Amino acid sequence: MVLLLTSDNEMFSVAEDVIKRSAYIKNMLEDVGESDLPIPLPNVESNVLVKILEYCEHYRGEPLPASDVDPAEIGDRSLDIADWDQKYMAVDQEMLFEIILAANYLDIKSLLDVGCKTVAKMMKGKSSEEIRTLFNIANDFTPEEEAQIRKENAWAECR
Amino acid sequence: MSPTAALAALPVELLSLIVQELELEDLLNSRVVCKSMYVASQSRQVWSSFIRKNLGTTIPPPFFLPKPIQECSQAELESSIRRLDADWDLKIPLQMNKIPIVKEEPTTDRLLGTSFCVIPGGQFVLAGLCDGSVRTVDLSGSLVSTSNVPASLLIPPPATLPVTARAVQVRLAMDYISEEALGESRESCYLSQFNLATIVCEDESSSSHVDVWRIHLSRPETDGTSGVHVIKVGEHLCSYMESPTDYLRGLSLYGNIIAYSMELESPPTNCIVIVDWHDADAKKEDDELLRWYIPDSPIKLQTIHLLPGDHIFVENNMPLETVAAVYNWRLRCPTSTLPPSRQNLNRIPHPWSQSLSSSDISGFAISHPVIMNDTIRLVVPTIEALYFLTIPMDDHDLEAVQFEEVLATTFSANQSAQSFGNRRAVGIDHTSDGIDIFTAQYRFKEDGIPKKGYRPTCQRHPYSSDPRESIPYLFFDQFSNRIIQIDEYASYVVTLPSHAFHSINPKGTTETDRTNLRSEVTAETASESGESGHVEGGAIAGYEQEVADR
Repeated sequence: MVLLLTSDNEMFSVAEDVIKRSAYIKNMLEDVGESDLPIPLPNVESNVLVKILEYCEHYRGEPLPASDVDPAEIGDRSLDIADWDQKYMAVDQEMLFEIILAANYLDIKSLLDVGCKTVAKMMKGKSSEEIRTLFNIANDFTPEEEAQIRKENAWAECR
Repeated sequence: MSPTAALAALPVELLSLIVQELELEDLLNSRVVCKSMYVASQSRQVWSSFIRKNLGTTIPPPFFLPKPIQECSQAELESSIRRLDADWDLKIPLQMNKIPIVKEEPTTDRLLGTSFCVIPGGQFVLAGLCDGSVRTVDLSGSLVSTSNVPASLLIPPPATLPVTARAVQVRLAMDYISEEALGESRESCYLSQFNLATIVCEDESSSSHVDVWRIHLSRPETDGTSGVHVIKVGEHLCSYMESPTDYLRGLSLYGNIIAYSMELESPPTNCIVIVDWHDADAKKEDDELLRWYIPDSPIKLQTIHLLPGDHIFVENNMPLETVAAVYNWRLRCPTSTLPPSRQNLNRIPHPWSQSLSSSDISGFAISHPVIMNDTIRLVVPTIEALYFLTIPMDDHDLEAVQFEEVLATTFSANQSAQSFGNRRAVGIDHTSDGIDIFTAQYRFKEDGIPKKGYRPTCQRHPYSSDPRESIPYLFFDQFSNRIIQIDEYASYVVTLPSHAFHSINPKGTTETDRTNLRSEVTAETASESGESGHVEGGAIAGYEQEVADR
């Protein structure tokens, strides 16, 4: 079992083969070896870790992806997301981005990929204004800057 | 929760991972949302993964960049992608840049379209001349200078060809598609090598010379940034002798397979020969050589295209109808070790064919095949309409071949004066009033979501009021956006600037393109609102032929 200590000081005891989906933890275990000391995760809160562990638990036993392969390079183009992953990602936006940040921090490539695809899917086909509303983003461009970018976008687009 | 858990607050690296999942339209649109997303979408990584991920699913391969992908800047990657879907922006009247080609001897016999090819990138035209040689015309200086360009010797005439031979037929075919020909060029999205097939025949009494060469393109070390390449002949991959032929028309090369049509008056022969050139190397005319045949046909076989998956596309021109046919040659075509004149094989049925009643298929202008989503695609223009031909790779029985009309419009009857790419085409057409230039754009619906309101179109622009003006061969290179004309005596070459042409070097020149856009928008608005006559810049407003979205 591996002990993990979240930023809000909660201790989690996790089976090694579950948490090894995190390349960050896997490498740490390999470097440090067996230890009774908890691994501090100062960037991950307990409610997010619960969610992350749910993912790792679900994929327990499935082969880990080769660490040096970037999923983007394999040519996995589609925004198709597995059914279970879709249900897993059906969370509020705040949690969604917490998962992405934690997946990045813990280096869980497949989860980061699903997270990015989920967000990309939400953006698909929407206007910039719709995207701003959806994600509560302030438009920090001046009208001139925005006009310039739209012009740059237009020059080689198809009509 | 940490305060960073919002889209706009994600680190730029993570935003980049998100936007690279988007399709082009959405990716560009994400730039307008906020500054951090703007920065995220400017990352080199986003564009190189975008190309790698989409090549073969929404980007038609082969896809060639001005440099190997790992050396391209973000701007080069982005402009190359955007050029694929760039709007046509021909300045009317056309600013034609006519450059005489200097040769040691003038060409006295007319050359066929298959005596020429334009190497992707648009810098080089290859020409098979009547002395049996292959020459290179380098257009790299043609934008700044209108002085002569030499026809430099690339491949000398076959050594066994008599020095006195004149009026030799030379046909060329490039393979810049197969894995075998491209080597590393596929991985790097940069054309550094391809294969070239040549057939040289003197007359009906002497053997034909069939050769396959590796051709290399490189950037000179001293001047690696200019985008100018040097061409060199590499390995002589294969050389063999085939029987004589009266007339040589079609030639195609794909991987280790070569196909050509042979026409003989005596004994009357009209067939397509398919040969694995690995097996044929060093064979003499009378040696046994395994050939697949599409045997005798009462018609003139004009165009052949070897396709991936052992398929071949054949265009048959008959007096009253044209038939487009596809064969899985390895499974369906009879074989013989006898040469074309002595084989006596019976005609075979077309496994898949489409009759195009009385409308001439523009075989010369058919696009190069691409493999997208495991199907082979060809863009097939006919006089009456433009068709998309889709062949599933594993469909040996050709049951699921689709031949779909995309654009019902009149393309040129002059096959040689038009050139079709995977998404755009250009052509020149005679009308009763003179000559028109047409530009077309189209795309397969599987190629991702285009901008809202996108529709396949064909626009015509009056070009010359003299209908007797000769129309030479026309080539459109979709990688550089260059339009190239060459006449049938290879005596001059014309380059036409078109939209985004200058963005071969995207940094210094996008401003030009933006300026072009403005005048183009004005022209569009004028024609849409029904106005005619002059638009800004004194250009002639062409009449527009728009075809409804389907």
